[in-house]
Amino acid sequence: MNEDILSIYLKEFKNGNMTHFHTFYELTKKGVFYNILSLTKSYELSEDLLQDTYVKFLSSINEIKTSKSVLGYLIMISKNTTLDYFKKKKEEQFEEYEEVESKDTYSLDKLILLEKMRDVLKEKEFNLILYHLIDELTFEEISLITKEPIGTLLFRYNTAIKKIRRELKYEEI
Amino acid sequence: MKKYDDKFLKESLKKDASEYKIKTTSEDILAAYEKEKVSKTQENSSHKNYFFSSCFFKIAAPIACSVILLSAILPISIYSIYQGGQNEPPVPPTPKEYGVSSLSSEYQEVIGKQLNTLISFGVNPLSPSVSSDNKDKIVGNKIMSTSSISPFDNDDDNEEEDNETNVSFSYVIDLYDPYAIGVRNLILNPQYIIKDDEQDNDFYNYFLTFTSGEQVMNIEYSMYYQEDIDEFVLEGNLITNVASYPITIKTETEQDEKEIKTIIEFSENNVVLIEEESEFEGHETENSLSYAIFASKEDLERDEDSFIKKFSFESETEYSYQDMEAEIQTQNETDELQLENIHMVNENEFTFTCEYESEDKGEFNGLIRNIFNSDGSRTYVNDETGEEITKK
Repeated sequence: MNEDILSIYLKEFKNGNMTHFHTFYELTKKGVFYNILSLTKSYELSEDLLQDTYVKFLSSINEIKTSKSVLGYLIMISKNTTLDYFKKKKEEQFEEYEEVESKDTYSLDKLILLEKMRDVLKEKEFNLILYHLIDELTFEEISLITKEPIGTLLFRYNTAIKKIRRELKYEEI
Repeated sequence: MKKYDDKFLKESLKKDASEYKIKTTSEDILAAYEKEKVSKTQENSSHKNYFFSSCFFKIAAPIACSVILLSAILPISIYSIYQGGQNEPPVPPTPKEYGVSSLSSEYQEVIGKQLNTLISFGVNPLSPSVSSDNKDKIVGNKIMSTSSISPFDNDDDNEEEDNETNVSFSYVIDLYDPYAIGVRNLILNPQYIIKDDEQDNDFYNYFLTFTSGEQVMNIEYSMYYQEDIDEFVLEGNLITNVASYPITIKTETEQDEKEIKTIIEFSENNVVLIEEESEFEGHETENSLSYAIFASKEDLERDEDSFIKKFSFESETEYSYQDMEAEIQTQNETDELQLENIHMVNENEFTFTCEYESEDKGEFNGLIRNIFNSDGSRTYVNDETGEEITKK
């Protein structure tokens, strides 16, 4: 995924041209979805909030600066949308995993991992993990998105991995 | 390039990401977007105004939200950004049109503590607006250096160290020292005399005065209700003996939780965001407080992580046991300073374990004693090496 391509699509959307929205969505949805999932721990709810996120993105399209990171903006909207959902529903955001009531059939372990990562990592560290491991972006590509030097990203990634190892007590494979 | 072993994490996350297929399609999103456009057009044709009882806070304190008043200076409301894109800017308040309630006493105390600690840091907003004649008069009870925390300071200047001290320890103390008195205030939690009066003013209904020793601060303010987020906002001016600064405060209270967000615009390119959250569960209380400096309002509105420097303080109290930690971060997280196991020996001395990490400069770990001397200086002792540094 190339941030330049996303910027081109953004300009099209600003002009009311949604021809490439499907491609745009397919390129960006994974990172956004897993960012939401780490907060909700529910696949079903995350699907709803994913839709809300992109609707909000489209609603505010004219205020997004083309010089800024589109993916970064989407991640920010997804987080705020999810937090607002919980505020309105007055639900606890971080429950013990034993208390999670989910109809999802997927492994609860992955949800716990995401939740715990969000607990121990700073937001930039968590987003970096999503970009690199879920969106499978290289650090060069992430550097274009976040407008930060590759060295900074590598240092931050290394710090994040160390934190996860230490806090979650993962053993080396 | 540093090596990192992320194989364990990669396999766990990638497996899940490939197993689960996201069901929401682009067509679903476009359909929902079109539907929202239609319903917004219908909503805009019916607009309501709300006015609120002055008894609101006093009666409903445990569950009420406080009033939020957005500054007319901000081009886009903080909350529209906060909500990730619902960008209908709130109507700026007309003089005395909205809300007549005043800030509840419990919030007054919290805000007084926040602002007093901010001023104790010697945060740079005071330095550009203060002439050299006035610098020594302000900042409450202590005379503080206001230079080290300025976001425009070149950090390299701080590396011209005393040749007799270890470079790493000295650098760490240079990073921490501007916050030392603020940390002490947070631990000692001094009391303030607070007075809230109604005032006869075209724009602001109330005038708050905070007095602690020789230090006096004022906030003139009004509050109004923001319909789209169902919350109250306070808008006003923070007045010190030097200047007046626009201030916006948002507060929320839910059962067992309280959150306050304060934004102070010291100048166009100097904005501070203060966030405080408290959580209560049985006999346990958790409190977190952070101060972040931004180069501009736009930076804050765009991304709350784009701060230049940030100071965070957390405390957990259970019965008489208290655990305190602090953290100082610089932009892009290139430098991080963490203080743990903060322990107060007496009013003028406390200890903490310090962990510092920097991409360029390396690491530091150690136990530090922080002593506040009667002349206002601070002495730091590295417990391991016995090395001492005094800052005036």
